[in-house]
Amino acid sequence: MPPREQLHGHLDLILLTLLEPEPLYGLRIAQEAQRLTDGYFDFKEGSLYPALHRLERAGFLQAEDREVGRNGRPRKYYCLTPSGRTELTARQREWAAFRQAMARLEGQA
Amino acid sequence: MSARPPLEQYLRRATRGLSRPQRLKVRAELEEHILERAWAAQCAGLNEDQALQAALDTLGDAGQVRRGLQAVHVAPQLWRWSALTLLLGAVTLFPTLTAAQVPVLNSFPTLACLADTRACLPSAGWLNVDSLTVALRQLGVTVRPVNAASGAALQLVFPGSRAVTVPTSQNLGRSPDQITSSRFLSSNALVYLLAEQSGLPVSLEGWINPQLRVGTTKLTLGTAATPFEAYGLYTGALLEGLRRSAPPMPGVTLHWARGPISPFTLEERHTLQVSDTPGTVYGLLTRDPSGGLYLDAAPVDGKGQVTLTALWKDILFVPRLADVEQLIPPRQPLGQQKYALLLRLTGRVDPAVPNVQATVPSGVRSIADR
Repeated sequence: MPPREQLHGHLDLILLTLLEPEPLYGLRIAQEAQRLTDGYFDFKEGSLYPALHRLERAGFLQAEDREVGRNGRPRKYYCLTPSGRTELTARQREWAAFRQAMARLEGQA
Repeated sequence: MSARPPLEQYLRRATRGLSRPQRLKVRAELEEHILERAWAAQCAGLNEDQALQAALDTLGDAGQVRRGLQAVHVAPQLWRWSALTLLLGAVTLFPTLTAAQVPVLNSFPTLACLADTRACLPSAGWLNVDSLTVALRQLGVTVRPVNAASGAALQLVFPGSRAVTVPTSQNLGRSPDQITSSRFLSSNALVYLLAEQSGLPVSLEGWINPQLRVGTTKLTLGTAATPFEAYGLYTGALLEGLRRSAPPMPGVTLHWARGPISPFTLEERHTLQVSDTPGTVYGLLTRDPSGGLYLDAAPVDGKGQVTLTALWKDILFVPRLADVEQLIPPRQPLGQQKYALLLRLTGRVDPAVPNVQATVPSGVRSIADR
C-alpha cells in the first residue's frame, strides 16, 4: 500500500482516471480502485466523498441520481464532464512527464 | 434494528456542520455506501452488527470525513459569500424599492450562555458588512464604521432612532478556518441591539427570509437565491425571552436541538396541535438530569401544528415559565415521566414587552412520533 500522503496527493488523478470509462457511484469507485490495482489503492473510503464533491464543485465531475440503493434512495453516480476530461488529460501528461523524469533519474543511478 | 444506533451516530458525526440540505444529501450518499458494504459483509458470513462495524471501519473515522466535507462545503462557502453578498447588496441599490434584502450566511448558533449579558448572545446568521451597509443606506439608514471598546463595529441610525452600535467580526465560528477577509455581523446581535438601543419598535416575521421591521423600515434577511433559515435567530429570541422571564440559570449548559453545537441531534420528534396562526414560532425546552437545557424552535404549519424535537419521548407540559426548574428530571429512576416547556414567540423583539409566553398544546402530554 502506498503512503497515505502519496495516495492523497494523487487522489484527483486516480478518481478522474477511474471515472473516465464510465460513471460510477462512491462504493463502486472504491471497489474499482482496489480491483484494478490488486488492492494497492486501499484507502479509507470516507476520504473519497470530500474529493468527489470537490471535483464536482470544480466542474470536473457531474453527479446524477440513478437506481435506488439499499437505503431506498437513488444512488449518486459521478461522471466526467468535458472540462473533467481536459483536466484528466493535463494531469496524465504531467504524470507521464514525472514518470519519464524518474526513469531517467533511475537510469543515471 | 440493533445496527442502527452506530450508523446514525456515524452519519451525524460525519455530516455535522453542513447546511441542512447539504447534510441530507451527504447523509443519503454515505448511508447507501455503508449499507451496501454491510450487506456484502453479511453475505460473507458476518452477523448484522459485525457487518455494520466492518463497513464503518472501511469508511474511516467520522471526524476525519467531517473535516474533509467541511473543507469542501463550508469553508469555501464563506469566501464565496463574501463576494456574493457584495454583488447582491449592490443590486439593492435601486432607489424605487421601499424595502431591502440582504443575503445572510446560514449558520447555527455558535455561542450562548444563560447569564444576563450581551456577550452571551448566540451568533447565528452572518451578514456581510459591506452588503448590509449598501442595503441600509438605500433605506435611509445612516451607517458608519466605528471602533467600539470591544473592537470594530457599525453605528446605525435608522429614521427616527437613536444610534445603535453593533460589533462586527471576521471570525464566524470558533475555528481558525472560519476567519474571513470580509467583516460580518451576527443577525442576532443586529436584531437585539436594535431592539435595546434604537428606541423604535422592532419585530421579526417569517421563518425563511424573515422580515425585520425597525420602526417603519423593513429589511428582509436572506434572498430568494440564497434563502436564510432563521433557526438561530429564533432560538436566540427564545433565549432572550427566558432571560427576561424565567428564573436565572447560572452555569446551565445550553444545547440546540440542531446544529454542530449540539453533542447530538435530538431525535424525539413531537408534533403538537397548537391551533395558532401559520408561521408563528414555537420553542420546546427539555432538560437533562444535570440541568442541561435543550432547545428547539420551529414555525406552525398550515394545519395549526408545530413539530419540535425534545430530549424525551414521553413528555408532560408545565404551564409557566417559572416552572423551568421543574423540567430537570431526577437521575433515578430512569424512564419516569419527563416534563417540557412549550414557548410561543410573539414576534416582537422589545426588551420592555414580554415576547415569550409559556403555553400548553392540545392534550397536556405528548409522545414522540418516532
